[in-house]
Amino acid sequence: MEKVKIKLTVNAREYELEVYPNQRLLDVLRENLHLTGTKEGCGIGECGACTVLINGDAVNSCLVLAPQADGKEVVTVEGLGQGENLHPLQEAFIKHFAFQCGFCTPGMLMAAKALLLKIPDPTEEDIRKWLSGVLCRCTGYQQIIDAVKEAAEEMKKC
Amino acid sequence: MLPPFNYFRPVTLNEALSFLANEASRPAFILAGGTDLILKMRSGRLPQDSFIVDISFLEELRYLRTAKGNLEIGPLLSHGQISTSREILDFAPLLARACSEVGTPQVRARGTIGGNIVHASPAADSIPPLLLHDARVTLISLRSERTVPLISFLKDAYKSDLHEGELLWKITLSPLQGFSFGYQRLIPRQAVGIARLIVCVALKTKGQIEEARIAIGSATPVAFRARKAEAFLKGKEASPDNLDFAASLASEEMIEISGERWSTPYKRPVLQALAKRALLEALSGSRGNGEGEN
Ligand SMILES: Cc1cc2nc3c(=O)[nH]c(=O)nc-3n(C[C@H](O)[C@H](O)[C@H](O)COP(=O)(O)OP(=O)(O)OC[C@H]3O[C@@H](n4cnc5c(N)ncnc54)[C@H](O)[C@@H]3O)c2cc1C
Ligand code: FES
Ligand code: FES
Repeated sequence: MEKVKIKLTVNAREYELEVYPNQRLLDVLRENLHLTGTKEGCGIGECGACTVLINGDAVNSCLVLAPQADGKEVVTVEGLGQGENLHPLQEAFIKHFAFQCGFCTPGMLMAAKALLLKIPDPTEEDIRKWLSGVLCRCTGYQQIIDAVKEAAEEMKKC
Repeated sequence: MLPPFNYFRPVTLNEALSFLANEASRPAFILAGGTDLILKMRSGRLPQDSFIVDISFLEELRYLRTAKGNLEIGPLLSHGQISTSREILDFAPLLARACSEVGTPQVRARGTIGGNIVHASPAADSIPPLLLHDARVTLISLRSERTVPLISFLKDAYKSDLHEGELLWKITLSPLQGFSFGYQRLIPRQAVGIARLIVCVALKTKGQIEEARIAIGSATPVAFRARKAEAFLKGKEASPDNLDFAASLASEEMIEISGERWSTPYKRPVLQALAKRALLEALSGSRGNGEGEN
């Protein structure tokens, strides 16, 4: 099994890496780049804990081979805020206590980010639909939906 | 980490076909969006020393065009792209609608129509609406090219008739001008789920029913057109009795294909009810609600 050279942008930083083809994007993010915000839940595309953005779309990083991310722009939960400044979505999640164990939270945030990139002024129906790919087994979804709603409103102000 | 395999990324379609032409000497698997294949790789069901041929970078396979009044769809278009494409919403509203129902936003962003067809799941969402459009698939290999009706390309559950060295490179849809549409999809819960039953209807009416097309998915190993129900409706008035009878014919056709099973007492009336609903929806002049779905 030969290694594959890839070049990709993660959270606005360029990387040139040699990866094994059987590494998934999820593995490269966590193990090569030590970005452990992205979680592995099911590994089969069902829970959404591994959600990241590729060129602006929310995808399951457990279902992308690392070589398939060559040339792509990837954003993980670590790239959401700026330094010490949290993203409005993160602020709203804290305010609404939209998590308990927090395992689904990075996926929820990235799915919500993808939504706000496409629809800055989403309806509740939009929010439910765009978050439908991430499962939470603790909180119940209402707080999460409220948080996304508020973040969208906050972001319109700035 | 997945179990090990070899990776090949062709830069052109021709390079992909040349590589696939040597399939006999090394087991090769085409990778598009990976939402089906990566699960298979993960569970260790690929032979050792397999080559994964990653076609996801081949822009030549990501197209949409009209030719001689037909719509041609490149296999690499994702469910997300299809469900939001203006052209597809106009030409094949039920295809757009069906692709908007696939999995989750994450799966729709990666999963392709080509992968959906070749994987040939009985519940594949893109297939019933494609059957309404009498879709054909074009398979290409280094030395040959053939175009066959989609319905004959689907051999059995999870078995499509892709020959060694071939790649699916075009899906062609005939127009359904002047038709209205109905769509029903039954899933075990409110959101996100593999379909248990799918009914797609296209109707052309002028006082009476001029033409009816009914495609049913997820009920049998391979989706089918309910030809008896279609033939019955031709030239008939759209009366409640006629619709009921057509719906019951569609249900009987399902049982003829799959035989009486433990689930038949459930599926028979449910399919009948869904078929009736889809017919009524089409009669109301609906476009199948494909608009604005993501
Ligand atoms: C969580 C989850 C939910 C899902 N929900 C649904 C659902 O609701 N409805 C539904 O229909 N599907 C669903 N799927 C299945 C899957 O997403 C679709 O079937 C998808 O369209 C497959 O496309 P792909 O590009 O990812 O295929 P891949 O996994 O890349 O390939 C699938 C198969 O097709 C072959 N192949 C792909 N492209 C070509 C080509 N151009 N020529 C020849 N062979 C090719 C591959 O070799 C492989 O055998 C779901 C999957 C997941 C993980
Ligand atoms: S870990 Fe990727 S979807 Fe669950
Ligand atoms: S907070 Fe625990 S899974 Fe969502």
